Amino acid sequence: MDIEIVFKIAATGILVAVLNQVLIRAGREEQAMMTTLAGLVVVLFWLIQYISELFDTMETIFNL
Amino acid sequence: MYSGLLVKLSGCLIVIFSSFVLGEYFALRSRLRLSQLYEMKMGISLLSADIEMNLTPAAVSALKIAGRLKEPVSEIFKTFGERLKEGERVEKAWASALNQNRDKTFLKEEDIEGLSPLGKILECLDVERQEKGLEAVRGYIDRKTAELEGEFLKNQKLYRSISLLGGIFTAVVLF
Repeated sequence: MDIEIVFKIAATGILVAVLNQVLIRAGREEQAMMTTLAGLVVVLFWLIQYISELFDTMETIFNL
Repeated sequence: MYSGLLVKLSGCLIVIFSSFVLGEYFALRSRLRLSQLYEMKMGISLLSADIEMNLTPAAVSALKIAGRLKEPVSEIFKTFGERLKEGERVEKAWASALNQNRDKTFLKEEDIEGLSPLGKILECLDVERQEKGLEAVRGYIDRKTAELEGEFLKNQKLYRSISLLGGIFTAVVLF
């Protein structure tokens, strides 16, 4: 697993938080919510591969 | 290794820059809408003054005023004058002038609807009713410009922040 992914997720989190605040202060709560969801989807998209690997490893270890 | 990193960094900069430019474009649209509404108000005031005080025919007046205004608002008055010269009715000529040139402007649908009654007002023979009608159109423009001026600075900062943050977000996702 690349350490790069950790930095990417951290940067995404910070940017989404800032964007969220900017949009809420501008009175655009719906867009803020959509931005948060978009950030969440992007991060999950990056993590899905590692989660899949985790389940494969657990299956191998426990001979399931 | 370094050349690959350099290419990635250049790509990120291009993404962030283009996103910023997109944000500036949206900010510019609201500024241009405001200035075009002011231009339209000036044109309507000049047109009504010229017709009432100098008793100039509407077609001649419209073409004269088109020369004094900036584009694209001048195009609206120019088309209006040309259509009147062709013998079209005032209401229809104004409506065609607005519809034909609306895409060249940054005016929104609500602005076009607010300005549409001008044709019918100018066609009116009763001077008092005409004056009241023109006052209503000028009132609409005044209200809209006051609203836009208040929102303009706030929106400009918002578009700039969002475009920059969005660009950085895209760069991080693609990196």
